[in-house]
Amino acid sequence: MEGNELPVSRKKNAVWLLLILPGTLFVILFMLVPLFSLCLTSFFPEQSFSLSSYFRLFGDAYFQQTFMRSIRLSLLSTLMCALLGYPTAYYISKFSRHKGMMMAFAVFPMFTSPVVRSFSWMVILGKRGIVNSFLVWSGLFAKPQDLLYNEFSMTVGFVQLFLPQMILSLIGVMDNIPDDLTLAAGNLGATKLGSFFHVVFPLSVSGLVTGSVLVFTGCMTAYTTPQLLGGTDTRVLSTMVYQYAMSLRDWTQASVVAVVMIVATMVISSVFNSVSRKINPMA
Amino acid sequence: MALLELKNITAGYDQNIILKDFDLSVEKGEFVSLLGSSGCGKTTCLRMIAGFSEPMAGQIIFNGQDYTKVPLHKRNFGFVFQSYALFPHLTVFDNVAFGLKMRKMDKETIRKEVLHMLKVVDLEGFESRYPREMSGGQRQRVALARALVIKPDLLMFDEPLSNLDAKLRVKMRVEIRRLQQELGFTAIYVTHDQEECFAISDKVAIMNKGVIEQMDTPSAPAAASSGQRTARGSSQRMITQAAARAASARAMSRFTPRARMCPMPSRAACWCPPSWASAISSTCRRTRASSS
Repeated sequence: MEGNELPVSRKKNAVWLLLILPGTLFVILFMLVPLFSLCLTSFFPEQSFSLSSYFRLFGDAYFQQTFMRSIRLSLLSTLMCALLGYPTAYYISKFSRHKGMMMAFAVFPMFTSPVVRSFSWMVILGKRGIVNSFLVWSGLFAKPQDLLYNEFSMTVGFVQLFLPQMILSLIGVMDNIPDDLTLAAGNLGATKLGSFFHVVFPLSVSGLVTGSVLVFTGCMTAYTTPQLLGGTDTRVLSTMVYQYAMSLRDWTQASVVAVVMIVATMVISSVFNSVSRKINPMA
Repeated sequence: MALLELKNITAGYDQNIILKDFDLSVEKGEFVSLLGSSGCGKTTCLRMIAGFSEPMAGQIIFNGQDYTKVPLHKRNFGFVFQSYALFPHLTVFDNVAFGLKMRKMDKETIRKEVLHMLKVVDLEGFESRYPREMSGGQRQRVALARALVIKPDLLMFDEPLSNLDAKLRVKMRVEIRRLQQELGFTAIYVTHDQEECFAISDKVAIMNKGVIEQMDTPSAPAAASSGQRTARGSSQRMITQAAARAASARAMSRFTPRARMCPMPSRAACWCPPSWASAISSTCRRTRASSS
């Protein structure tokens, strides 16, 4: 019997390998190889190994500013998405009677391109936009404010761009929290607020982390939104890569910035993960 | 006076009335079972007593006080869920300690009470496990300990054993009954397994379509079924079945577990409901006895 079974399971393995082959090849050819060559470029600025381009970059005040701005704006947008997305997702998952429709509304912005959305924000936040017209009309400000081409408009754009991702990953996790758990908490003497903080919140942290990682990496790598809604003095890493590669034709510096972007994104995402593991060790 | 009294309760969702003019009274220290087929309103009734939902009309009187509008976290009732509803992110210790923490007891007392209760349900040494690392029967006992440790005025069971295999089910129901008699708590137990409820309860209420058709001690409905009651559809049939099953269950208790698994002449026996197993195996024994 045993001897008979072994070839069968081997055959199964071969089929299984065949199934993942196209995907694996694609990833290797079009992602891992380019990524590797990108790294190589950044370490070999003049045919020989050197970290000089990294030192040059990190010594550059302009880069330091851009780097910090990228991280700051991405973290701020992630926080805003969490603050806005959590209550929305909680409502849709647990209390909404028309869940399908509510989710469609939440996801609807994803159907339009970031370019269109950025242009809409230009219309809304411009000197003669709705917001400024209202501010002047209501007498809060004497003249129109600068709401566009700065960090504010970029954050607004990021939040609107990535909020659906946050809401979706939160709903996915919240739907899996059985209502019996909140009832059990109440039955054991927890108030509504108590059962939220002791049961629902710790169990939804994994969704919050998934959402945060999605939003954060999205903000770090987004190009159109910062390009259209940011100004020349509010560059972020992704627009900086473009600037180095296309305007300055400095491919080495561009790849150095790209590598820094990848590493920073990975480091911060793993920090998110380790925080969630502390709150809910079984997630 | 009864400890718990439901008076003229109407309950349901929107147009769908599940209980109408429902009355029930439970004495202190009693073990009352609600028995009925699915959809008869037994779980609705239990969840309403626990405070998970409010009745549309009627009154819930507990210990002389009107409990109809008391929010669930102020009721001090225990509830054992069919799904156990253990908190997956908390260890066994923290699961059991949850109710005590909500009552703001000091740490040392909580520790003592929790460890004692885990000992009672025979789960010593499992404190730092997580629910997903335990078997169904163990989780069930954690749920029981969690409900018992708050010293509830009333303990409710919503088909607590239906997710366990047949053998464990019998063991757990003996356990629950033993605990109830040791600790003297009042219990309401919902099930659709006749054998189970007849074995465990002081009183059985047979429910059908939102009303209690009969409520008595486990031996009485069986006796009543023998003839003089007029046939009244499903409940009558149920009582007769229940009596037969209770009788075979009593007979079963003398058998070794192996007798249950003897080879059957009919293939159907392989996938018949577990509650039939006793009847089938006694037939089987007779067959074997006559052939040898």
